Amino acid sequence: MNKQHRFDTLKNEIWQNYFSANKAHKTVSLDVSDIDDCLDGGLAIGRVHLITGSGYSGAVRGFILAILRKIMQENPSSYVVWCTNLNSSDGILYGAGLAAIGIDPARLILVDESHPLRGVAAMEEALNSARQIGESAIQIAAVIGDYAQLANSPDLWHKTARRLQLAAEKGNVLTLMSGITARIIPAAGFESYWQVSTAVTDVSSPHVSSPHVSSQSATYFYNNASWDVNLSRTRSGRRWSGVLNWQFSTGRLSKRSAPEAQINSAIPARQIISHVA
Amino acid sequence: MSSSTNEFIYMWFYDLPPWLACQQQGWAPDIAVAIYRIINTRQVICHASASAKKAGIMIHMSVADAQAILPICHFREYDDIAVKNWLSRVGEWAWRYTPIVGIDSDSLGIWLNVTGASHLGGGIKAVCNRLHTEFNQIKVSVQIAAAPTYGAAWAFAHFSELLKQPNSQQNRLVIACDERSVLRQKIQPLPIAALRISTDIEAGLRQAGLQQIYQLWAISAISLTTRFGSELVQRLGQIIGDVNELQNPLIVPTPLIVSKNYLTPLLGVEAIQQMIADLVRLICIQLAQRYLLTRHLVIAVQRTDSTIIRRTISLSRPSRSESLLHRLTAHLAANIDAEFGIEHSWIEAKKLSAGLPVNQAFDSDLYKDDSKETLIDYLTARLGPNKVCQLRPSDSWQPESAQKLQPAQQTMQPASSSISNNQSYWQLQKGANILDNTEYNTSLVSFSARPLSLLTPAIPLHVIALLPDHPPSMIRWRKQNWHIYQATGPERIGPSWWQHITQTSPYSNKRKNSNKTRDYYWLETRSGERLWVYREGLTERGENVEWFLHGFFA
Repeated sequence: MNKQHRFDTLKNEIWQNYFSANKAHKTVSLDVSDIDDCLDGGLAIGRVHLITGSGYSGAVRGFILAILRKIMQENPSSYVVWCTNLNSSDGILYGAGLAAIGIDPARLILVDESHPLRGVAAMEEALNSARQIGESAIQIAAVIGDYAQLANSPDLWHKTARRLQLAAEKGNVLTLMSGITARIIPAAGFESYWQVSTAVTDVSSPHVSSPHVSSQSATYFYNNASWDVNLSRTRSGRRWSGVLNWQFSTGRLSKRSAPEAQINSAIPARQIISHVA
Repeated sequence: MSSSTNEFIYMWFYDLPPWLACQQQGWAPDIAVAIYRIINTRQVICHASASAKKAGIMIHMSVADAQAILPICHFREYDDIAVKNWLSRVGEWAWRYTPIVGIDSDSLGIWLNVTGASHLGGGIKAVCNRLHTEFNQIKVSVQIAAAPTYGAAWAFAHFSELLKQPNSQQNRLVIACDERSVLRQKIQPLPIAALRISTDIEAGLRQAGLQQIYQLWAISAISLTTRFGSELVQRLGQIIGDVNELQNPLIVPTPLIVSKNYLTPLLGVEAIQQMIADLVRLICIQLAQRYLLTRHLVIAVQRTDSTIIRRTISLSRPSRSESLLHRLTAHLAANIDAEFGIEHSWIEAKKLSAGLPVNQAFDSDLYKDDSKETLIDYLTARLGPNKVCQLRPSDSWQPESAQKLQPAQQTMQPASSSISNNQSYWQLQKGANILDNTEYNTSLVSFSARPLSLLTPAIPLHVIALLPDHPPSMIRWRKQNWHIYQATGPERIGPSWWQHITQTSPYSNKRKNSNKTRDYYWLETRSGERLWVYREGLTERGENVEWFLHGFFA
């Protein structure tokens, strides 16, 4: 057996072991077959996923909430622990808005921790609490932490990723680490790395000087959201990039196809319909 | 009072809610304060301070009317929890007079059964006078009455003839019934409301021309029962002592304590961990033997230098589950610095309640899923009580006041009526918009389009708009210019005009809390950001207009 053959055999063994181990993990499908294929079936439960975005917190939070809604629907009696800084400039989660998109705020437990290290420790505690000890099993659907700024310290960041990964595996809980940052941060210890930003609206006229004011467009605006999503790291090595639409009423994610984009660009310029007195 | 009869003292704190509001807000006691309740979305005055009443504010008046009569009056919603807490504290204080003390939070009163104990205070009149003096010192308005029955003491406290006389003093006179034989005579002139009957029965009696108690005694019990039900006759019997009346007194909290001494001082985390585990196991055995549950545990150790270190664990609901308590106390050993060793330790179980064993088959609700409580207890024990929070809806149309952030263990308290209403509000929002996917109501969406993130306080914006009352075409935020692609709105949200500008809540706009009307717009920038902004002030009224960013959408 030459070296090349042994190397191929070894690679096959690794892949088989990886797939057999990965199949044991439960996943959450994101409704888009391309993304699910990249993730080998969907977002893996019991793993840590990194989600970042630049600009403002709306896109990243929206994408996380889209995932949360799916997982909370699949586990109707479970809870979500969100560790965040409640006094940050990104704003506080708003219950009325969450309820309107189908997420029950009563199932959301917020942990207020401004210091990233203590915040990660809080995430770890939440993941540890999900472990079944004795008679009481705590059902946690997901643990989220807004502490991606820890990546500024590479040593701490790798340790954090590893510790969270171990805790998530033991608790078998979906764990999301999020943050608002424009730069690409190292995602070595994470199962997947998502970069999410708002999808640029297809402005038909480059010289729009005044906004279109419309009362009926509230449905168009706030029944869905669009994001530019770049899935840059997966266990399978495959990547995905594109625009995702999220329908609030159904909770479904869908890929914005190229023909649809063309249709959007073909929409004639809206007339200004103002109901402002 | 003869020794064969019972002796009850009733204290009615008729101005308690306004007084408590003054105490909480640091207002002068003579300020005009009116307390309201929300009844079918109407804000109705239920209590008013003396100065507010003097200005013409009456009970059952709407807040809007009262505001029109006295604009400087301070309005506060009735705080049921604060009233109950105050009454409970005073009730516990009153244990010095008798061990049987109870609170009547509906009527803002405290009762004392001083039967067999009044002689220790120098007689019933002396006890009443002392109570009178005590409350006079803290300037709480109280009406005290003593009688051989609970019903009579309640009636005299609430409907004494002396109450109607103008009295400049803070506290009113004490009326004591010396003998049960004269009780009937003294009760006669009291109005029928003194019988503590329901409003329906009272209205029926008034319709029949029966205004005072003596008029009822002329009518047979059978006739009264036939016409008005058994409650009226029962109350008549209770007020003169012919029918016994059971009351629920405050229970004396006797914390359960288990202690251990050590011949050689304990050192090391493992030894302390074992010590805590032993204490927890012992207290759980004690609780189980007494059929008790606890909500508060204090673990204390005494070091060799006599320093005492205490660590507390709170539970969101009563429990004696050994595994749960082990889990909550598992981390405490690392937080205890033994220095040269621990020679004495003890554990106290406080906030005890009865926990009788029940069969699950009888009531499945008793064994509902408690994983949320366990999770909150666990996180609170590890991270601290103020770190673990939950969003609670609040009955307000002001976006920043429509939700409150509360410590999660508080949200797990036995649900009050307001909390249960709040829960249904969240569910209503959810059900209205999401559950019925097939008939997604577009009007509801546009009406209830609220952001996923709210900025508190709102961020001031520099805005360019084509016209003063139009949505912005460009905003300047975070040192960038954001061109607006689409705008929807406005949704006009009026101010809480009855509240003073100085009033701020922890989650309201602290920087600026004006009484101006807001027009909210939903904006989408050309780069896709979805923002919730508002314009404060109306140009048609000649007000200064300012723009604020208040939230983000997905």
